[in-house]
Amino acid sequence: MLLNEMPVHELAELLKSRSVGARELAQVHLDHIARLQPDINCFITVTPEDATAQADEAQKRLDAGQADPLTGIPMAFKDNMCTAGVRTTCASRMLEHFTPPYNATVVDRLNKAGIVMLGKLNMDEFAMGSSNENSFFGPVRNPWNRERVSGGSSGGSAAAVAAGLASFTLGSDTGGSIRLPASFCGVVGMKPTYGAVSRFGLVAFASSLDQIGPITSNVRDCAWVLDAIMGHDPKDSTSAPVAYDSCIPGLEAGVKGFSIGLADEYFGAGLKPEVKTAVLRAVGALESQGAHSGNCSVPSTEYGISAYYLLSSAEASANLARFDGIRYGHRSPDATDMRELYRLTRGEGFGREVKNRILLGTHALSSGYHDALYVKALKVRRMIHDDFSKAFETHDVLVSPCAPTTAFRLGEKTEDPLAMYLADVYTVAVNLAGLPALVVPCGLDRDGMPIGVQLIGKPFSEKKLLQAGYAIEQALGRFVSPLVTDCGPGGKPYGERDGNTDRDGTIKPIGGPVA
Amino acid sequence: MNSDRKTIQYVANLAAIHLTGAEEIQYSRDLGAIMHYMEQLMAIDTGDVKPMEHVLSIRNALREDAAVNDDCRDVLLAVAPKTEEGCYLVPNVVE
Repeated sequence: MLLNEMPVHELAELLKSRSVGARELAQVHLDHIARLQPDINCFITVTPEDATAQADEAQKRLDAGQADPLTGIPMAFKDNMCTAGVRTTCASRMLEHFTPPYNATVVDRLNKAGIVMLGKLNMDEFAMGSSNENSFFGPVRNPWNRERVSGGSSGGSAAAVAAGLASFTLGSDTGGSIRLPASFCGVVGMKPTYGAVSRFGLVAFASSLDQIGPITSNVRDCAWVLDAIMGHDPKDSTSAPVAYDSCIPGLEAGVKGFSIGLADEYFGAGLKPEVKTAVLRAVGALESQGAHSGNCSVPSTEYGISAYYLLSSAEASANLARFDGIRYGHRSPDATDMRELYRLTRGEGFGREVKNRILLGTHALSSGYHDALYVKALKVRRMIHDDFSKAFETHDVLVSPCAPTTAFRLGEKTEDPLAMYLADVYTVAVNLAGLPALVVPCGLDRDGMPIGVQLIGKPFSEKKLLQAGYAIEQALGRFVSPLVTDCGPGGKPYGERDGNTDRDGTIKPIGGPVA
Repeated sequence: MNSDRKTIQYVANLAAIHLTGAEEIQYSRDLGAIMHYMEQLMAIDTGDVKPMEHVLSIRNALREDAAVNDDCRDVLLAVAPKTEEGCYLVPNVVE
């Protein structure tokens, strides 16, 4: 097995036993990035020098026997998480040259754990999109088929893991932005319970819905990363002050006695038959291990898209008001007065979809429409929340498809925003209700594109979801994209290298920021 | 929502975003289709349902009034596009 396709938990063993050095491991990934970045466009910024420095620090900890589970593991952050001294663009012209002076809490936590950051990942501008085609830095291509989208908005985060460019990544999920790309790229993605992971330093899109979570190649790694990032943070006033158990013990405990709910609304018209078949196969895998399933209903699901796009756009219109050309980011050179400065800066700095959302949200909050649109959507949000609560009275986990189709073709939906929004039909309700949800690969369609199954749980039931996800993974196996093993002429599987003594080698820059 | 060009201009002005003529036409079309879809909400009887702004029952999150940052004026000004003498520079606002 190649180092860049190895699970985090196996790499950690190799690092601890000194079979592999932290620098060597980082270099394997940087080399792979240099080869594939032109094709896949996962990264907005690659940071080889920071990776070198962090790898050396990690090696010291490993040598001293003071390593945490993630010490020395190469990873990358979605480019909407602030990294002190490393530019954070949100894939927008508005923040093209913005370098934050502080770290997001998740960045601080993972730095403390000893990770090696390879760079910052491509995304839909300000996390608004379902295909990662809304990036100022160009679209991310799907590692399974470069004519297909990666899914969005954390497309870079999912594609990087799928292509073996990072051992794990973090994404953010406001209406499906971790889960949809995880499903389209054949990797594992977790949207934790709202409040479980600090949002401090995450550039805000819709504050009542945003949540950071891991994208990994397998379920056990997801538990490892969650353990490192979950927990109360006084810097985030919506961080939940609850006790967090480790997600790792009990991961293999199985699903005997689990009650699995299949909501009718998630298996209706519009669902591609191959996706349905694969999801039901995953349900069968749970049943064969002792779970029992039954039908249930989340009737207000059909209103989820409307409520979600009204509420998230309303919150976005307020959050993005901060981009005014004065304190940070793009500033129009042509303005002669304040009002013109705001208008021109925002007209030039924001891309098409971001402006679309701001206009929709501003309209929903404007005089005469506030009650009819915004408050109406808030009421529907409660109905969705209550529907889920009722379903969870009799079920431990709801199982559904993550998306009605597999990854679609680049450009297929870019001229029809509504069609793009409907790709989120199975994911948005989870955010409106604040629930955790895990996506695990469960099959391939006839074109060889991955299919993801979504497991939805009660608030703070991440551990149970991971247990069920692990059971599915054990039954169906991992799905590895062809690009993971595309290591070029010099690439050899681990164990067949010309010695593993490259620990003191120099990591070569691959051209700095990639635009 | 009436998404004619005049409405788009009105909303863009509220949002302080300059749009070109072509953008006004495009957003008129895009938002028209989206708002038409969202009309489904009007048909729902939400009766006495209480609006849900947030999933957590949030109260003010208070913390001790302690200084946690050093003077970071220069650090913050360093990311601003235009500054002068330790201040943000804006266009003239007083005639």
